[in-house]
Amino acid sequence: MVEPLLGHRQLVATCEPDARLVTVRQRRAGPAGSAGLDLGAGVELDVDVADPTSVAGLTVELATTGDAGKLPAAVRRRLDVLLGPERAAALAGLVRAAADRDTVVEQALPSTGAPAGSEGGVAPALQRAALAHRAACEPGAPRLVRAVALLDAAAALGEVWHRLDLRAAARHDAGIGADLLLGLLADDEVTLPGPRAAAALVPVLRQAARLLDGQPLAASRLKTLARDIERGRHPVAVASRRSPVPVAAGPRKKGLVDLGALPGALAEAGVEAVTAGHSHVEVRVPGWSDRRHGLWAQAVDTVERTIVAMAPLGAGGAGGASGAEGADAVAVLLVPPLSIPHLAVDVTDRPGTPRPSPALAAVTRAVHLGAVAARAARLGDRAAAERRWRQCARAWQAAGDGTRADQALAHAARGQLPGADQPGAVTALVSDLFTPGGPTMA
Amino acid sequence: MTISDCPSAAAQAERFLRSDVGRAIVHRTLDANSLSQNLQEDLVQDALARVCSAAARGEVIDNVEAFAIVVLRRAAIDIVRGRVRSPQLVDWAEIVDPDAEGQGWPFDAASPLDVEADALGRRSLADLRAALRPLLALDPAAGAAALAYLAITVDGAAPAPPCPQPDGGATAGERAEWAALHYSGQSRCFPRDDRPGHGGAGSPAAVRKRRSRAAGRMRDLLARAATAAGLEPQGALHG
Repeated sequence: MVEPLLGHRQLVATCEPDARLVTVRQRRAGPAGSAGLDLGAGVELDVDVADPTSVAGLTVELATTGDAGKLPAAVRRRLDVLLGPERAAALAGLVRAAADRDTVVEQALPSTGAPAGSEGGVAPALQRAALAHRAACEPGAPRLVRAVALLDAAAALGEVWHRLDLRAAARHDAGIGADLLLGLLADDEVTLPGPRAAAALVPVLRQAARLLDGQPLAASRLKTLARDIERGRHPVAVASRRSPVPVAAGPRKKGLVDLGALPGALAEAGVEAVTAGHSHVEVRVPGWSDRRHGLWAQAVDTVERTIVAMAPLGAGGAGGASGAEGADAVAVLLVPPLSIPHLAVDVTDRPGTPRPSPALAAVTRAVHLGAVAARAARLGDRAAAERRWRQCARAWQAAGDGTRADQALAHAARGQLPGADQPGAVTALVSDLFTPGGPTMA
Repeated sequence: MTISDCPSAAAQAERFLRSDVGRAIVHRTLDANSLSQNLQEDLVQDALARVCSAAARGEVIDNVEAFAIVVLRRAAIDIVRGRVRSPQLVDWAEIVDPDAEGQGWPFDAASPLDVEADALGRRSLADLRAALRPLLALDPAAGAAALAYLAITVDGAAPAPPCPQPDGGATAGERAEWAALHYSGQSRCFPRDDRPGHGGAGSPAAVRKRRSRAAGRMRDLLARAATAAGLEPQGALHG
């Protein structure tokens, strides 16, 4: 019998016919939040970042028109593979019943014949793909991390694509990851952060190259890079980093910056904004030149409550050569002179969306700290993980969520991730080894 | 549905989300994700922005209420994910090659609208900027240029070196366009870009064409925002 990709643990299904929504979960996401994975046909999987063997949510969005009680064939095929035919059938029955009664229905989907000694949680390939997607898309992630994470995700998806029809998604990730990595290589910007990272990258490059059958040149260059790394022909950093996961600098308010609106990692980055002349504001993120891509500085007139200026972060001077690791990211905003006395400035990766309230920013920050703690734990750095989980607990407490604060403290005390001793639990992602301040170089 | 429908779609969604039924759904959505009820307003605002963006992208919204529930759920999951987007929603072109021209707004025609003349009152200007906000997600560079253009032409913001300037004989509007493109980070729209790693901007003709297209995208975005804000196109409010 083929194992269902989400294992055999007990799950709870909720059907909401008014929202055309079906949700299945083992438990809600903990203090590090969840990592999502689009499985196509309106089906998304979320794994708990701190325990990716657990299903934090399997969501099916049904079309807003048509029969709310019928799962489309493409959805049903995916559910069969994810849950197993028996539980998928039970879920289909539940969806039908909820639609007929036009009410929300919640019901357990009992665990099914697990192999002896294991309840088999989320398949490792799905865990890895979801976590790698999160690493690739994190605002402020360096391009090398994004590239490696996308290639890692592609390689992971390549292990299950035949079962879930994920060929296009795997190729998408491989293609963008290759474009990014090869672009950095062309600019001579790639020094691998250490032998462990280099060794871990080689199989990922080869797996990704196999997915790029429509892009023979890119595939060939990935394979060449893999060979060069193996033969010691590619530069690898030798200096050992003293602090595997850096201590948070802590939020710092500088000038006009609206600290409460900064997303996760940026809240720790010491964003500065100062007026210059009668209609300019300079926004500076120290040391973020390599992490600036996709980020925008924006200024809001707090009286009119409208956005008045926006500009992309560019490579600035100071701290190192322009564009190099360690240099600052800088944006210059041209603002209405009359707005200057009541400007609030922030940095975002999502232009056009409403600025978060302090409550939402606090939650985002807590999730970010949890994700950093989980990464430290995956890397086996217990001291850093414990420190970060304690910071995460304080952040959740500040956000008014005592439950997740307690969970974070429990992780801190345990010293390892809750699912780490489970068979099939994912260890460090390849991109974890490339994240600034990431691994020891041994 | 188009961007001109955005206000009505958002208004309809807002009426629903603030009704008794809608509030219950907001409550339930937060609860389902173990999120604090303090986030109700954030969730509603995020959902409304998603409705507006979908309308602006030309997505077909058959049932605004059902769609509002869908985007409400997506917004809640987004929070649980730490507001880290999925790879499908990231603008990879901007990250893979920051100097490449974006896909941009799909309409390239120049606008007859003289936006700065229409935006006479502070209220109109605020409405125009508010209408620009959801469009920023579609084409951030053009949106940033539009904001800079308004700051120059309406608010009297003064560009400063190293902002490039056209040769003598250019109109005030052309000078404002150059400055707007500069402040929106579109450095490849200008003859020289000596920053390391930018490799120049290409032949003069290519640069001119690129600048013309970028300015066109900015004007189109402004025109659409003006329409969405209820400002009369074709300069009808002049005088």
